[in-house]
Amino acid sequence: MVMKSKKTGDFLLLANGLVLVILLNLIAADNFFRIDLTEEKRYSIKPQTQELLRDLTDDIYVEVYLEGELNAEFRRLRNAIREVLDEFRIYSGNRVKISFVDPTTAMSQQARNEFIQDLASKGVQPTRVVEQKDGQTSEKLIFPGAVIAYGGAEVGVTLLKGNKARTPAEEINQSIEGLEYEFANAIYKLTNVDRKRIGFIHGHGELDSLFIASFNNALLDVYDVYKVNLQRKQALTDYDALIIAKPTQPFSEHDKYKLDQYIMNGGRALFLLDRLEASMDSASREDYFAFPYELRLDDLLFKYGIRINADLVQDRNAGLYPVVTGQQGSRAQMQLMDWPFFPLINRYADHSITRNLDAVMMKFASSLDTVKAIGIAKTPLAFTSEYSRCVNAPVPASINEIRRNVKPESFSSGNIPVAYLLEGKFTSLYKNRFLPEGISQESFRADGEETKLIVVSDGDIARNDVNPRTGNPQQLGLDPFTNYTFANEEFLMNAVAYLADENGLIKTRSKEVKIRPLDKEKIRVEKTKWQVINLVLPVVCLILYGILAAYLRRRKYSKA
Amino acid sequence: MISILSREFNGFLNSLIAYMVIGVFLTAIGLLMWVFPETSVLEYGYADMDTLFSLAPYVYIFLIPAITMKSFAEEKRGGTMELLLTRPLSDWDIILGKYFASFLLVVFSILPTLVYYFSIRALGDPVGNVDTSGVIGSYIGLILLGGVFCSVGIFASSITPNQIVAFIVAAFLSFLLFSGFDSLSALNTWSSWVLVIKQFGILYHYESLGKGLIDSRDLIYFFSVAFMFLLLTKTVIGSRSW
Repeated sequence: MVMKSKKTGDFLLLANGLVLVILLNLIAADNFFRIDLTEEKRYSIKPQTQELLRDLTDDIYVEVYLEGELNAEFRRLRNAIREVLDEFRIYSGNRVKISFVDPTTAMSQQARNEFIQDLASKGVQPTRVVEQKDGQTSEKLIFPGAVIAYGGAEVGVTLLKGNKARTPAEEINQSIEGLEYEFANAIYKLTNVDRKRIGFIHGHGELDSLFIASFNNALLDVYDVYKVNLQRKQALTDYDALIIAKPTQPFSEHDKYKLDQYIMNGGRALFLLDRLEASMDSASREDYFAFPYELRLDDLLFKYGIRINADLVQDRNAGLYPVVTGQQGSRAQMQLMDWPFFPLINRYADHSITRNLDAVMMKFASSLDTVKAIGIAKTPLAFTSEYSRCVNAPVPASINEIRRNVKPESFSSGNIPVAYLLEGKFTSLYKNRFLPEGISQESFRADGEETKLIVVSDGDIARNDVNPRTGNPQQLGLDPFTNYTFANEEFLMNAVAYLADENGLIKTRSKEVKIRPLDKEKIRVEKTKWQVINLVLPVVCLILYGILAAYLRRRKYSKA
Repeated sequence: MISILSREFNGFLNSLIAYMVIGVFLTAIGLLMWVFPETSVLEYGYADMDTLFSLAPYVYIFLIPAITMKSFAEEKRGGTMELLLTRPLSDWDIILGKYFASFLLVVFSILPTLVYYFSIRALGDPVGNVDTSGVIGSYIGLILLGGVFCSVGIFASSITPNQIVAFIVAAFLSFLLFSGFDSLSALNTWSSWVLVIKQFGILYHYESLGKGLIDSRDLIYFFSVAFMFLLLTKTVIGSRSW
């Protein structure tokens, strides 16, 4: 009997232990904490992303195409993708389903081509990687992208971002830093039911819909987009942000008043303004001079704390333009030359809008100055290169300028700001002033609510080219002469996201991942040395320890 | 418990087998980490000890059972088990003493890999560019994993007087626990249970722990598994008086 009870007791104990352990794990499953010990909190995702993931109501499928044989840099990117998505999975309560697919394993050539086309149509573009190994050059096509599917809709994500002017390793690192935002933003796009409303102001000769088509389409992925005519529209308050893209005709006092009151009521606005009238059409004329536009927005912006100078910036780090350099037989010889009026903006503030952004191409930008405005925080977002200067109006902006020999030393003004972010409580332009005719004093607000504005001193930043053969709009930022796509769209989308986005998803762009390369030269020279050290030293330590221990033991026993 | 622990631990250090096991471990992981081009950090080119932390578990699956296999099996075969049990020690004292002795030996075997850390530090560009706290976190993960494998090994050793059997059972159980559930979940038949099955396995929990990300759920899982195997051992040892 005693024996029996001991046995039962033991089994009871075991069963109790099992139940306890299961209970403990179940409780822990819902009440958990995570401590990220890595120095830059590499694996922690931002609260905004966590919230987005917690709110998922359906499974979300992420298929990543960066898989297979990759070089070290892309392997690093792939590992980082896996890590970020793993965090997503954990915080989404396993709603995020992840799969990695190697596109090159696709069976036949035809199937592969179809696959590539299918991916391209979803926005995942292949990248060509040229590799040199043992003197042999090989070329590979890889797909640094993913397709995310949720509730019957799909969206493609490009994961290779970052500044192309940097080394490949840094570019990959910047891409890694942006991963969380890219994925979170794509999920936001797919799950977003309460879409923000963005209005394009028109009626002042703003960019025609053909020329804004690319930007417009990008916005439509995330927002509801409207055309807003200030004269007809009574209330602007139902727009989350307004965009004023390259107006060319004056704003009436009434229009300005509406805009001003919209901002006083906490409305956000993105100003993309050209100060001087210049275009490549006019520049092809002999000795063309760029004169200021008459927009009448100067006093408004001045009141808010910013001034667009009546000048044009010239930058030696510039876009290219084909110029006739000679005659060969009956054919003109064209050559791509630096066109200093197209500055390539590559210097940015360390801000979530512009972090790790590739270069943006501006066309005929002006310099920006801040003026005193109480309570307004002014952040310069983008600058020209160090080798730039301002030329005051009237500016000779003719293509002949290219041929003229410009002294490099004269480009010495240093980094000129061309985009500003203004945040704070603005003061109305009409404070202590007569209101425009026919406006009652009742609804007037002299002091504004907290809001944000972005002013870019170039309207063409939002303008896409049109394919001359088909007449279709091209991708925003695509330079037809070099076939390179600049980051104009990304810059503008980030700017709009920063303005309109209440939940602050854009802030996840501020993640920083340190790059920790090994010294390649040292490895090349001392490879064997380090291999020997790490292979032999631990074992030698062990053996020495063993001998020492044995020796001590023997001494101890011999003494005794 | 302490007396058992020190006796067992000293026993390990005086036996050739412990040195063999640690030597094999260090050679295997050293080759993987520094020589074989597929997994070598020198080829990878970044200050990252991921190779150590992702491959050491597989080496441990075979080495920890070699450390633990004799703990109870030998006593049973040699008849010293009864002697041990007549001493004024509780079952738990004996089990935990043996458990922590092998656990300490596992920790001891990891210590020389610190050389890797200092090498990577020295090779960094600039020198010292290593995520030290992240590496510490990964070491914590690896040590916890060693703790679980030790408990499995102790249990396997308690059920048989044959060391070879103990070794095979422990290696098999460790493997099953580590990646078996993960592989099992890949079968098509489970559909919606895939994740639950995965969560039974160690790999699922080790993934983030091995990167320096301490998750309370993973910690509790590791302690739970180790505790369960020790409790099982206790039941087996206790069964002599049934």
